Amino acid sequence: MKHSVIWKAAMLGVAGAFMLALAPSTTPDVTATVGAAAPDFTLQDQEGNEVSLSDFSGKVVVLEWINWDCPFVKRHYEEGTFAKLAGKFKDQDVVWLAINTTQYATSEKDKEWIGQYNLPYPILSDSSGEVGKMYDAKTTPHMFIIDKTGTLVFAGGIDDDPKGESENPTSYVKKALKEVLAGSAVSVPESKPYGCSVKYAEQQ
Amino acid sequence: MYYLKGAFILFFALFVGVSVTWAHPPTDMVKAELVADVGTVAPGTGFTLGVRFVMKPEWHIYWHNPGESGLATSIRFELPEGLTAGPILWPAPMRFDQPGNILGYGYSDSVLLAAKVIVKSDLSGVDALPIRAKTRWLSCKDVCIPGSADLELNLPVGDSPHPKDEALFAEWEKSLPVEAFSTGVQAETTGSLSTGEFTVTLTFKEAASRIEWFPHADKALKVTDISVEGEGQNARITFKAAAMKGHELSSPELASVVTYRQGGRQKAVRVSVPLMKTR
Repeated sequence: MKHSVIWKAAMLGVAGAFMLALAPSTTPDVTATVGAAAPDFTLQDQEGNEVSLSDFSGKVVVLEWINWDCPFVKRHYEEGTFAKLAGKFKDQDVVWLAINTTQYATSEKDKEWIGQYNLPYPILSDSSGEVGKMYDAKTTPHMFIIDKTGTLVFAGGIDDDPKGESENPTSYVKKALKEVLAGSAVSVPESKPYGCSVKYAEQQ
Repeated sequence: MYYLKGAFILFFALFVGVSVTWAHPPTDMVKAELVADVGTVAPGTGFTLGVRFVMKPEWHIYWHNPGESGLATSIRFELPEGLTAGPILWPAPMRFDQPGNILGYGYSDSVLLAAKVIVKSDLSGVDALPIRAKTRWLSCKDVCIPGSADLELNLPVGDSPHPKDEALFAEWEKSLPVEAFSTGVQAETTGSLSTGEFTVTLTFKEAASRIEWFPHADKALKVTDISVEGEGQNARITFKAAAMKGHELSSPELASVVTYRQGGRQKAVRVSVPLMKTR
């Protein structure tokens, strides 16, 4: 009896491995589009907790693509850009998630970064690049806003000031969050993202 | 607990250390130099003034449209009374493919970004012209390091200009994109923002290869799905473009540069794509 179970299990195992080998690559085809439902994902945060986008349905979610080696990200962290926005809207059911698609990122360094800047939000690890590709994240930072119905309502650069020279930059994310929370349509749903290129793992 | 306090102090020290290092990057990936094609400035003439960037191997800096990431190199000239500079003229860029197929446009090895300067005919009482340039760039390889330089060049005023660095400036002139018709390249464009799909059909008098297309940047325009097919005497560029809601288009035409190899030489032409054709 035991032998036949082991034998069946082995057959299933072999069949399964065979099917996996024949299956197409695991790169998802889904690309997030502004105006459509934001694709769900599950990633681990810096403490190893699993976080899914669907955990927050009914809330507004901001995704911030991060890479602590990137000068654009460093500048915004030194200026407190994201922490200020996250803090401003945290009592209005706005969830902020940073996603690190840098292929060489480690959760140790993510934790250091959080400690260094006192971040009120987690950094999710996406070193395989799967979620980055799903959302077509090109730069760090690259911002996405998902409304309470789970629709992607904003994608693009945080503001119109890549050089960081403007006295009064237009913050597209702040503007969009205000509109979403007021129940209005987002007037500027896309802006050119700027930053370092996302350091994706090389294609297999 | 002392342990936590120690860790906090360490983090703080690291933070300060990182900030200080950031202001003065450990190794300069890019050297910038202010250069002119004359050693003396003569009243009533013109000369070329630019910044020569020399990059360490495999490091690049960016074109005025950096592509999907990066940062355009910028130069601001501070000229004394009597000198007026035109816009920076940019050599044809090259394309970098970064992991994830993220497009970057720019330069590696070295590049000269220069402008034509005209000189007032009356410079009486002026012996020397102190010229300054403030420049900023982003140099990238697998990481990115920002850089900047405040440059100075003092040129004496004289009766006749003494040409300088002729080879450098001649190479720069040759690298500038020219009007398509002047080189026998025909470009026909179709498409409009209403369909979002565009085609540029190129006809070359002589066989061309390694054809690339570089759109200028417009913060209101999203350009995607760029494809270049063909070589020899015919090539086709297709792309998608959409006006992003809430932004203003800066022009009804999309300026672009086509680079190609022909007769053993690297060439570049300007092609303008109307965005709102009705037919």
